[in-house]
Amino acid sequence: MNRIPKGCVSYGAELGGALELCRASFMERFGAYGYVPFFPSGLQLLESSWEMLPPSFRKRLLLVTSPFGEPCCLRPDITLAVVSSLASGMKGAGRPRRICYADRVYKKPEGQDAPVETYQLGAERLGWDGEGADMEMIVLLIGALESMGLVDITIALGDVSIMRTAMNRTGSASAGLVDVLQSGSLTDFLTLVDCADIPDYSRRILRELPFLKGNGDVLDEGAKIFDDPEPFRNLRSLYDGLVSLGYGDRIVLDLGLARELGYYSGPVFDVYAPDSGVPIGGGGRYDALLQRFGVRSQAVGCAINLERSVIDAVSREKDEPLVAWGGGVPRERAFLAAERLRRSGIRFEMSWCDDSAASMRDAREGGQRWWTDLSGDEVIDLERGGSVGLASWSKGRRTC
Amino acid sequence: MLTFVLPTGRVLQDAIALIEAAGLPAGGLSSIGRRLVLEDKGFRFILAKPMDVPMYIVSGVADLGLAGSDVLMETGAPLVDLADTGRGVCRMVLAAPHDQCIGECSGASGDAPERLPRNGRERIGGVPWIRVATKYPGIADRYFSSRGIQAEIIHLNGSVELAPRLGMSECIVDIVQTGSTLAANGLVERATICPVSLRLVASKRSVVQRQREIRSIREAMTAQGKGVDR
Repeated sequence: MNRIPKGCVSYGAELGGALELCRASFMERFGAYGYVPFFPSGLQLLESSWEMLPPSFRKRLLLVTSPFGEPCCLRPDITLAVVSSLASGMKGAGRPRRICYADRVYKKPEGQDAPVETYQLGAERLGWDGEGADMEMIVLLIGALESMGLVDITIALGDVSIMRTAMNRTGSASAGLVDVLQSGSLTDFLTLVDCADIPDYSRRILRELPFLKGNGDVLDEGAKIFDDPEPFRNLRSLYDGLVSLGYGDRIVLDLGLARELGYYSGPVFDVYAPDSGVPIGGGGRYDALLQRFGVRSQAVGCAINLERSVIDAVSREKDEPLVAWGGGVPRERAFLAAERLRRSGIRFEMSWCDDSAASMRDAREGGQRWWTDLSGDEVIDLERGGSVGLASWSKGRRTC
Repeated sequence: MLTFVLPTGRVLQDAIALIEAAGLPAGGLSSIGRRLVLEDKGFRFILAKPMDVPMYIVSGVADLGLAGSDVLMETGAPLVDLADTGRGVCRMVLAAPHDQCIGECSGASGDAPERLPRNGRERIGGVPWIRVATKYPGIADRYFSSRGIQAEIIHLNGSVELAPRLGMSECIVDIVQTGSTLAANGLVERATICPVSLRLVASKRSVVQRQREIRSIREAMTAQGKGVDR
């Protein structure tokens, strides 16, 4: 019996291929813009991460002791490992550091059926470089998701500095309010706002902000409620830039988007895929976190959790591999033919049995549709019958 | 198409009344019979077990729904609690037989009880240990943990009131509307854990993507359906 722990997952067959496609697409897109791969250690020292983690995160750590007796946790998040690693060498100035990563992270699940481990893709950009960095992060992320085949996504874009401005006059009530808003209970948030000892001006803004979601018009509405357009300047500039790049249909402004105020510090975003009611990832500016490491600089990042629904969507888009039979010719010739397939960008699996009929039967039983004899140049459709030339097949003309 | 998931059972009539009050097409819901899905005028209604309502929303199958705050607390599902509808009002309570000593009965100070019942469960090194039957293991665990009482949670799916009577547990944690079922089974309400009511909830994605429709439903429900717009 092959049982794995509840909440954990092994990716194989099509899902494994789809996961690899996601990883490669993401790393390639960010790599082209100078982001360098980073592979953090699986165990993280508690002494390095504890103080930096939000309380809600601390409760979800999976604790272990290393064989050397050091208190550790399984890597709960990669951003923190990247920041702590890079921040130690940063002095605030100099060329921005760019990092991208793809690895598993481990957290105590939030619900009965939630996962313990997820596969996380992400990128971080540390160092002063102006507001273009915010746009770079979002544009590269959209491009990476597109190259995985995830075109039908929505990005909810907000700015935590708007909420911070709204909280300016609320005193000690602010921390509790943000926690409740983050928990998702608008009912409790509005109750707290109504009961809190805060000025009416703040109360009016806080009651409205969570409902301001939509296109650029909500920025005008927000400015009207604040009676001041200044808190919305950065977000408007970022939004207008994304719209002019043609991403307007994927961006929804969300002025109530809340994150830990001591961690995030500017534009933030959540990413939604069609098959899930919760975000598959997000990101944003976290200068405040970097400051906790003693570095006053700019930090922006993003991360996507490749949950089952996302990988499923990718695997639906993926090409089926071709079965390439090499049993009918000397092995060396078969390898040379296989190399030609590889250079043409065709994905294939070698079959070495002596009998072509047996090879086709095995392929059919394995649910594979396309088969070719490496001594020839035809592809046979095992499902519907008939054949098509290899050159046509590789260009997508697969009607036999 | 906006997909709405509604809880079957005790609160279904309240849910239908809210849908009607909000001006949504609820005509077919009263006579839905054994069907679990109904589509009408741009809305799809799904009927689900109350405890499953959050799952339909989190998974993205439904945009919004009605769920008891007890269910939201128990599941801890990551969704948006949009409004307290003011319907389906009851309370989550701790109840026990009138002569049963539990953590909260030893005096105003809230000290550990003087005596706990049979089976060698009285105390372990001075720490009280009681058995609690409930449909809400998460809520019960948090309640007793926060009071420093060691509780063995017995997860039952119904007829929780039977457990103390049959010696399975010393007390129960359950929702109560009038208290008549408790009384009929020889149980007394000892503490109110929290009030419970029917909440309008939605997925995070739908709140972002369909904000205007969802906001207007929220406003209609809180304005006309005895909702509590706080």
